[in-house]
Amino acid sequence: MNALASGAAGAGIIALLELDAASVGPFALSRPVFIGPIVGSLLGSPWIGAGLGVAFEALSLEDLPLGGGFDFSAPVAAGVAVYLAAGRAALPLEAAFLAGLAAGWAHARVERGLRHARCAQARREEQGVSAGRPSRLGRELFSSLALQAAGTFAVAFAVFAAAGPAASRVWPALPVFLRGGARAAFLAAPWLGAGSLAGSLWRRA
Amino acid sequence: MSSLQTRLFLRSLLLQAGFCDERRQGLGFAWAIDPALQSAYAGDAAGLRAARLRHLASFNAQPYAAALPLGVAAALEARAAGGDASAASRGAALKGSLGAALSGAADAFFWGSLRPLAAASALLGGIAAYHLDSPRPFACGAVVGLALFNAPALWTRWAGLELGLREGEGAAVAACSLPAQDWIRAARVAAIAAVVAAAAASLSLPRELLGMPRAVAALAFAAGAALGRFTGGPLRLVAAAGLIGALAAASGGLAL
Repeated sequence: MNALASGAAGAGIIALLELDAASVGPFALSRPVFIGPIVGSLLGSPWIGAGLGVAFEALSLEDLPLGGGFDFSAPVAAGVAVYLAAGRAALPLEAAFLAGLAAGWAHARVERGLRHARCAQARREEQGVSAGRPSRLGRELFSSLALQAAGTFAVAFAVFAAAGPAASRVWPALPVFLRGGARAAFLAAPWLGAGSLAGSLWRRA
Repeated sequence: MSSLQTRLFLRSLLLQAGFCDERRQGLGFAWAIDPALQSAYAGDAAGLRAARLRHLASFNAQPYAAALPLGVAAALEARAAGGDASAASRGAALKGSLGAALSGAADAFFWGSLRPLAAASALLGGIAAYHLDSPRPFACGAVVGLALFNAPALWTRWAGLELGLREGEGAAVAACSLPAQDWIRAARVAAIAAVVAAAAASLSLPRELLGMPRAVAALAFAAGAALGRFTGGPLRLVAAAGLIGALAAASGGLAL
């Protein structure tokens, strides 16, 4: 499988799993602690998947999906980071972690746009039913699922096709202090996130 | 188990598929309740059209808690189709107020407590399976975490829908009498215990998997617990850790 086909397959799997974040279920399958090992196992590196998955899980557990939305898409961040670290790009974990953060941030913006665009679907259905036309609710709903998956696919594939290869070339040439800072941030993330979560739960209990 | 309940339940799993800024879950709610409307208004095209339009209105609720308003609205639509003139407007009003009233408790229970509990339990299950030499520690952890989260979530959806369909408006009173605050408190305490236990169990993993000395990891956990409230979450703390790491690397104190 060439790099583009492999990237497309990876992006497709992440896009399908991401639907669980809000659109279908949710069954928690898209949480980083699960999506990380799933993507990692598919690439033959479950430990890499688990490490990155736990890091993103700890960082995102305090964000409650109120209103069904996030400022940061943890499933996409985890899936993209694991693919970049365990896939062809073979990025160092800390570089994949930063790329995942960027992908999660970008995906949340794409999702906001999709949500805004969906307002037209309800209005279209309303006009159709008022005019006595047959209901197209199912079609509208499934087209919005398809668009959501396409949006996720586009973000993940763009990172795999462009940012991943570029980062794997640039990363070794970066100054030591930048790589050291990224490594420290990645290694500390699960512990800081879990501690912050425990403190937050303690205050509310 | 009625086939109508099963159909509403399955459709409620796509409640948020059409989530939009303007009507929130309105599109998903309208699709979920449609089998009940078609059954209630069979042979009454005008009634069905009016009911479909009613349920395209804005609706927003925690997705697991939304099953109860869905059942109540379906039950009241059946009464409206049977001749109870005010049932339709009562149902439309009640679904919105019930959704809002239940969501606070459901957000705190499912998102704020059960989700961390399930994630930490998945990690604990995986680490336990690793120490027991299981060939698939990640699958074991995933089964534990997913079961812990989905069993109450799916039960809440199914039972809420059943209660709403059976009791109609009376379901609101039954829902309000549930000891939700006690459940939330218990789930939070369990989540704290699970998160602390998962962090402690993680320290039992080999040093090469942790990537840092155990004492530093424990210190980072304590720093997160103590400082998280002042930084509005862990991201700024992670950025600060990155800064410290960059300074250490620049001074030669951090090997890459």
